Amino acid sequence: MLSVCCLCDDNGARAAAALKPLRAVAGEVIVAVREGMPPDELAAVAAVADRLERIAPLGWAAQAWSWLHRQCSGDWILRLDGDELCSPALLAALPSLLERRDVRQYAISRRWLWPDEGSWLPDHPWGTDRQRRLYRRDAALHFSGRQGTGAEPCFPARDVPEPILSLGALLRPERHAPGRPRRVRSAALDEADRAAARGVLHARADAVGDVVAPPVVPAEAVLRHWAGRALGPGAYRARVVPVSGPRVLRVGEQRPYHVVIHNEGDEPWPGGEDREPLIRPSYHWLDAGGTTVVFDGLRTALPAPLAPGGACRMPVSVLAPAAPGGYELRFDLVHERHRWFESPAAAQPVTVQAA
Amino acid sequence: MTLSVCCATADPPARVARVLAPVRELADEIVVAYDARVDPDTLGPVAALADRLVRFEFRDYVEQALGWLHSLCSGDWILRLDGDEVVSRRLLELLSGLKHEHDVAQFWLGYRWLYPDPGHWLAEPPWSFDTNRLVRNDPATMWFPGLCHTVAEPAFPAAYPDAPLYHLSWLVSTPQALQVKVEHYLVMPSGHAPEVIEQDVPAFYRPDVASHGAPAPVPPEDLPFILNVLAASHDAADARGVLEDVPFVPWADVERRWAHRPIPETAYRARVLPLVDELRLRRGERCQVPVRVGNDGTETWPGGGHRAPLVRLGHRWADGAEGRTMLPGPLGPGETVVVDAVIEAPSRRGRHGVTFDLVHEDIRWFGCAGPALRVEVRG
Repeated sequence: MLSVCCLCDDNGARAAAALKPLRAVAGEVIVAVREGMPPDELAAVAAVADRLERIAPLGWAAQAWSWLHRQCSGDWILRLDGDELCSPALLAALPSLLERRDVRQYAISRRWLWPDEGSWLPDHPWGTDRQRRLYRRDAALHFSGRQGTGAEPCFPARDVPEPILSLGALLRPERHAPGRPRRVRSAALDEADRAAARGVLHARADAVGDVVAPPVVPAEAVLRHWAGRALGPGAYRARVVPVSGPRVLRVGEQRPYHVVIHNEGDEPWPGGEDREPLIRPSYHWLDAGGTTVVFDGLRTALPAPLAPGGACRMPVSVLAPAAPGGYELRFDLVHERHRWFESPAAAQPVTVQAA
Repeated sequence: MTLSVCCATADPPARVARVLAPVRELADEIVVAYDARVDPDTLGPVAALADRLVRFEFRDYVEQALGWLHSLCSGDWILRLDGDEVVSRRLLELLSGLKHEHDVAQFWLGYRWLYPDPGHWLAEPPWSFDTNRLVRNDPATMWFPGLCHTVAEPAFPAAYPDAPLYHLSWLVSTPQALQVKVEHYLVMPSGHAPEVIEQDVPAFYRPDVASHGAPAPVPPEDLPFILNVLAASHDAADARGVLEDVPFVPWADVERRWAHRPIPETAYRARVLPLVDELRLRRGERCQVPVRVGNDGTETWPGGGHRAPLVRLGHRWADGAEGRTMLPGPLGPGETVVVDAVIEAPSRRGRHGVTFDLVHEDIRWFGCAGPALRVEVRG
């Protein structure tokens, strides 16, 4: 099942016209609009959306991607911006794209319409623009939330030549159109694309309907899913319980220790090698006198996301200290570039022998 | 969610039948591929249990056949068992709950080498490790490197349940037979570093001559499973029976799904075209260049940073400096993809040229580079 989601800034009628043809292939259409959208525009969107959300202003759109995609329940998700539409060719291709099992993410060509609704910009950088907008809804889907970014690249991906059409340069030339000093070439859109673009570009809201505006989702609720959010002190609660691992190591030996990690805080941890907030298990080595001799232990990626209240069993790679002796191995979690959790001591004695 | 259990083996059929029996009720499908050198008339016990039984042409090591073996499976999950392994009770419990498991791509199972008797195992490397034997049958994530002693490519998200597999090699072989394995595996192409192989393979197969700590006891709940499989030698004599129509799969069919298959000359055909004519960059500046790559050859390139045959988009500056960008996904014959090649401008000001071509790492460049992209370096 395909979910279509859209974050629409201003013109609801235009977004509605763009989304309407997708109803034939989508199992659900979810639209988020800005808090102050006029009632007639809101009514236009409500007519095509299965779910309509109003959200408080954010710093930038990408801060909303994680939250927006969490509203979706389909196996696949297609995201459109409020000033975009699917070309008729893309609409026709969608069913076969969704059938493929050997793809996790599609990069769809995007055509920038300029200088009029019948033309587009074929040259770089506009003509080579591809957007990761169609993806499986699974644990690999992740958004950094940095300004101007979309979904993080995911393997395996494929290209889709059938384009999304962007009206951005026509609607906001000051932001998106080629600068005047630059001479750019334009090409004619084919008739089907031109007709589709014209229909969306000139869509107007009808008279105000009887739509009931949904309550506004506060910015805090949206940003709670943003990868770049600051974590509160309530996030840094965890318990690491060692379950197996050697009591004797050789100097410089690297071995896995199995631990069970409990997320007792109020934030989900995304897991993986590079997903923010980047929270990873690690450890410290203390000598017999209680002095820390290795503070920054090796890091091991969490093998899966871990929600508040959840627990996961996993191996943590441990590197023995460089000198023989009796030590205490103390496991903990670290939020990279921020702080250690200082979890309740999950320690065990380890004897390190000469190699 | 459905479960396939697969097994590629040359082990005695009576034992293999006992290895598979505990999962029979849990598996929607059991697929067994027998080394074709085994007398087909002895396969009766396995034929009685398996939904699909084939004989295949074995070459050097079983990992060569894993891509092909898994392609025979139709379940949503695939568990691979060897003919000298035994499931634990907790693994059976895990399998019984799999139909509700949607959030994991792979389960890593604890591997326990039984030594010196059925009631003990060696709880330390190289005999004890986690192995991702239970994988989602997802063509987007399931892939096999195909080198000796390798398993499936790791996929995210994963789980490490306390659900072990027991290994019987020591209990069903002689030290002499295990030494033969050591000599064989030391010369096979491995997915591990040579120094690791030289150290671990002899110890792995010959715990009797390696140093190790005291073996750990097998939980009482698992001992009956182990003893039952070991008892297979008693019923081997009853196992004979003439089997007809066990399909034979030649090496060519197995090899087609082996990552390290020989690549024919006809594969190295491509169109590689940067979609930018010229660039202006600062010294040392990194930028992305969209390059259209069309596969005009006869092979599918798997893409990614590690998958063999490792074909990547390469670029070369006139002074010989090179760089690589991985293909974002598989690229089949006739298919095209735009790759954002990451290049770094030379440190010298002036006019430069950079060409793009596909490269089969450690083998060859394709020789399909188009015209050079002109790069003017300033500042």
